[in-house]
Amino acid sequence: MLKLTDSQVDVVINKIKEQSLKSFAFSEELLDHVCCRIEQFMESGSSFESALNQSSYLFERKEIRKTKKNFTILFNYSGFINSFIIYASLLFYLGSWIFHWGQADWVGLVAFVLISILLFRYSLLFYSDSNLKFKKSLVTLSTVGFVLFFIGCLKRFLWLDFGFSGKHVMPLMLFSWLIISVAGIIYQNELFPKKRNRLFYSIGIMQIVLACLGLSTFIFPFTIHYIPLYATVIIFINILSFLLLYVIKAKGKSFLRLIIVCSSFMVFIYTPHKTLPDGNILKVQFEVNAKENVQYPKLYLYMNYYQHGKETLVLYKKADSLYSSGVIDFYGGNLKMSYAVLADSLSLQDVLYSSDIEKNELTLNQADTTFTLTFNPKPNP
Amino acid sequence: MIAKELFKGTIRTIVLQLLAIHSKMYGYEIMQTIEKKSDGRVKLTFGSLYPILHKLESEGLIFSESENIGKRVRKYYILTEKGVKEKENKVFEIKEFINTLNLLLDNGGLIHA
Repeated sequence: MLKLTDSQVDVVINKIKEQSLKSFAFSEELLDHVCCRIEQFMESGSSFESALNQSSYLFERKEIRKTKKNFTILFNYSGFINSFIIYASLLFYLGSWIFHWGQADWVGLVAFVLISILLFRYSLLFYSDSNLKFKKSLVTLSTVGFVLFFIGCLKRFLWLDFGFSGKHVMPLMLFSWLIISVAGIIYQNELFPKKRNRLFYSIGIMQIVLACLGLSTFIFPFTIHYIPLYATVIIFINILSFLLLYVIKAKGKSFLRLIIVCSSFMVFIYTPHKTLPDGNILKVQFEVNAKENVQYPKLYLYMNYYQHGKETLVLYKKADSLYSSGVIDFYGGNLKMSYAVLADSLSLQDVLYSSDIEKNELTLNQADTTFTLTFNPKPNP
Repeated sequence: MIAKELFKGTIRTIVLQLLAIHSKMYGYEIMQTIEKKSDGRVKLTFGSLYPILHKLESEGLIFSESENIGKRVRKYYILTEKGVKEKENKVFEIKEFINTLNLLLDNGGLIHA
């Protein structure tokens, strides 16, 4: 049987190298496979050059991509990566709650960014899948869902402006939850076009209902008092759904799991949302008249309204020594709070429980009021 | 040529069956043997065969041995004991499936229903 010489093998190696392929699991086999094919052509009378030309399609980037794709499908790497991201984000979020009470710290931000990455990954996945019947809808919904969720978490954790008030962050994120849940149902329809998986559908539809209920708390003020009950229901349903997804064996579980984790994250940042007892809506604007003409572009107002919640607000510079927040809705009345105004973005817990940082007292008992607060810049050391 | 879809679920079993007959085989040899035995009706591609071989190896149904052929390395695949059992089960399943198809498609089956 004809065998390629070492110099001919070198030519094949160099030809493969010319493709600048990244290392892959079957590179050794590719070389042997190409050589075997060339040898077969040469046995039937072809020259080495002609045999090499006829076999070169084997190591073209397109062909290698196909093989890699088959590997990914067969070994379910995609599902593994998705699960890894989901569990990593859960771990970070748990860490955020253990160490910082779920406040806007970097650990929480990592958890939200990981989930955003996964949402984006699904947009790309839907885009590259040519077999999807409702490809356009899936790509559009998942991309819009990702963009809204990502903007929401950047605004919440990094205080980025984006040209809209902070009070719109939660409705925005709840709306992204709704959109992603609709994409989830469409995706289920793609996976099981004839025989619907009832459990999958139930979980998907439940997420849509819960997202709508969440949005309704921003439309109908009377529902605000039920937020704690509503949050408990969501968490209960989410834990149950998450466990059920372990029991069943079916394709497309990670997307549903992603929606569930997404909604659970939102619930935790939504729950302490001014669920105050009695009283009306209190529209409040905070202003800070700095004693000196300080140069900070923004200040941070750390608030603890007793028993009901803790919050950080950003005050933007309006004039030389004037900083102001947007109009904030507080649901309740006669609200007593302690606060600190600082130039640094810190963990809310660290500020409120630090004895080194001076706190002031304030009672919010009037509607449509602007409250003027004090700010003492730290003296330069 | 037979439609790829019809063969998709059976390639694993065909590979296991081939490795049961031959003591050890390498990828190109497997591809050529399948093509030859099927009179050119089943043609595997590089992209469809090697992922399956690696998957079978990861499941412990086959193992590989590398051999240097001049400047290149050849990977031979050999059936494990677990692979032998799996092959027997799968071959039985496929034969059952073929019998069922015959019942449905041959005379007296669905065609004349």
